[in-house]
Amino acid sequence: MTDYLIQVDVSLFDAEVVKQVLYKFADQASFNLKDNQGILDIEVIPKDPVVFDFNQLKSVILDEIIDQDLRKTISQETNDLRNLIIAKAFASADLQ
Amino acid sequence: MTSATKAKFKSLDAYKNAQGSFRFLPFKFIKLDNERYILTNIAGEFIVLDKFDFNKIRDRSLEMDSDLYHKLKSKHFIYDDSSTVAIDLLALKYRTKQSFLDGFTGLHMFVVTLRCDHSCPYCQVSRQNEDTEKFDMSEEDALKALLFTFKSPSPLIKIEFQGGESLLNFKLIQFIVLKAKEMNQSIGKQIQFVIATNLSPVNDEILDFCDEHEILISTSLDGPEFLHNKNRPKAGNDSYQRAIAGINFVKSKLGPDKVSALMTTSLESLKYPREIIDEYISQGFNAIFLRSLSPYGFAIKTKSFDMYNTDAWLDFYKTSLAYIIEINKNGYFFVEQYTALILQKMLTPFATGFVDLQSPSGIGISAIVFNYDGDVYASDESRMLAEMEDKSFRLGNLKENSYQEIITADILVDALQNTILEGVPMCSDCAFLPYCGSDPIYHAATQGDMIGHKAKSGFCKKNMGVFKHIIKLLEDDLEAREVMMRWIRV
Repeated sequence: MTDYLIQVDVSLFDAEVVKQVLYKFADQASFNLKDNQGILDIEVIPKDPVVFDFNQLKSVILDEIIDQDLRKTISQETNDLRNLIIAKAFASADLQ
Repeated sequence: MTSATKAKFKSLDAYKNAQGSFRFLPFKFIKLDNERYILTNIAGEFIVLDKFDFNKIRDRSLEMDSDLYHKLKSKHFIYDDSSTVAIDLLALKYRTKQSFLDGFTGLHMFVVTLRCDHSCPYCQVSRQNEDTEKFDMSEEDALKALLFTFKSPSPLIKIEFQGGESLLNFKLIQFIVLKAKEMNQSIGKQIQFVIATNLSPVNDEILDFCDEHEILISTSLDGPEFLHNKNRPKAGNDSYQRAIAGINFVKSKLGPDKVSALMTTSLESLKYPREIIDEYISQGFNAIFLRSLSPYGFAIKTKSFDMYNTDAWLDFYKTSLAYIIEINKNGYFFVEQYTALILQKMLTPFATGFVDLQSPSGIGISAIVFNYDGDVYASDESRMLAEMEDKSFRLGNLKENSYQEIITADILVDALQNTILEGVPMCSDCAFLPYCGSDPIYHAATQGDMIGHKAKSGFCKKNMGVFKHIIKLLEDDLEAREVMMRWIRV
């Protein structure tokens, strides 16, 4: 275990949401995830320890988890509408 | 009040309050900076909100009589029971944005020769001695390429002659133009011809032919003399002089609107944004396309990720754009074409037809390349890779394969399937999806995978940087906004 640990309560945030966020930061660090009794332990392994700023990365990741959670909500709520819009767009029916 | 009146008009209260009674339409968002968010809907319309307003969406505390509510509703981010047309309107806008798919392949590039009189160090295509005719396309392959071209369902066919130095095989260009016109007599498509050339071999005979057949000239101008000649070494060190003489020759014979110039951004170019733009203006051009550095040579050799110069290029782009905006403010109309294409995506309902920013990727379905030896490639970059011994994106050969076999080649179908951004990790929830595209060749070259990891992608970093910069200018700089609005062609 490294000194760099982020913990996320999975009763509040879906683990899939967390993983999507971590994917976005793969240029800066690798992440090792462990389930710790309802808490997701994220071990952060920097790609370049010389320029690595853990507190800054942690702050950005936590903000991004909240945003990603909203993205998931919007996506779930609008998924049927999205399909309907695309179906209408490419349907042969005259939309005008 | 009569009961009939009541039936016609709802009370004012019916339009107020009712927090939470709105519903989301599909939209995506991303931080613009620490204080603001960009929201884009499925048709690419965008709105910028500060954190305070964004949080009202997040916690659904929008008030239905607020300006913000009406703004979000009118731009199709939310809807309610009082508006049922949003879905039909969005469908219509989405269809219009995707209209580039209608025509299928429009641009057909004929590599008529690999011979060249230059030895540019960044050239991705193996240059060959000028007198080595084995690197010329044959008439037989040219005919097969034309038959292929006219099988495209696109009503607009653009035939672009590439090299090497294409004019070193001018006889074949003449042959193709005349044959294309002859074949098109019974087909009736709209055809446009473009010769990409360094103009070094240009002469009266060539330009008379171009004049007669309305052929456009696309040439290279990398900047002032010292930079152009450094980028484009040639025996006699006179590439710049020949290019300028050629540009003036074309202008005088064909007219100023018949020649355009493209620049290649070398590492050296990054130091001279103002000088490059000044050169374009002094040659009478009204536009420049700030192209990014081509990663292929570097990436192929090292197989490393491709972030190496993106920051430097973005600095170059921002400095150049600021300078161009100042020039416009001072009264000279001058367009940065990459910005103009993106503005069209952001601010109009129309598609651009710009191959590099399409989803699915424009390879094969918007542009296709016939190499000098009859090989068919999915894009110009694909044949550049091929000249470096990577033929991953070779779709077939004109002598061996039919149109159907080439256009349904597994590699092309796979690439198209894998470049629909809605299915690409990180892209699928990116707010810039309606403006962006996919470049499978770039990612194959730099990451060994046509999708690529976007967190490590120079293509993603570059375009995210450009999109954010343009939106910041539109939001924060009224004068810059006025200038850029004039660049949009509809």
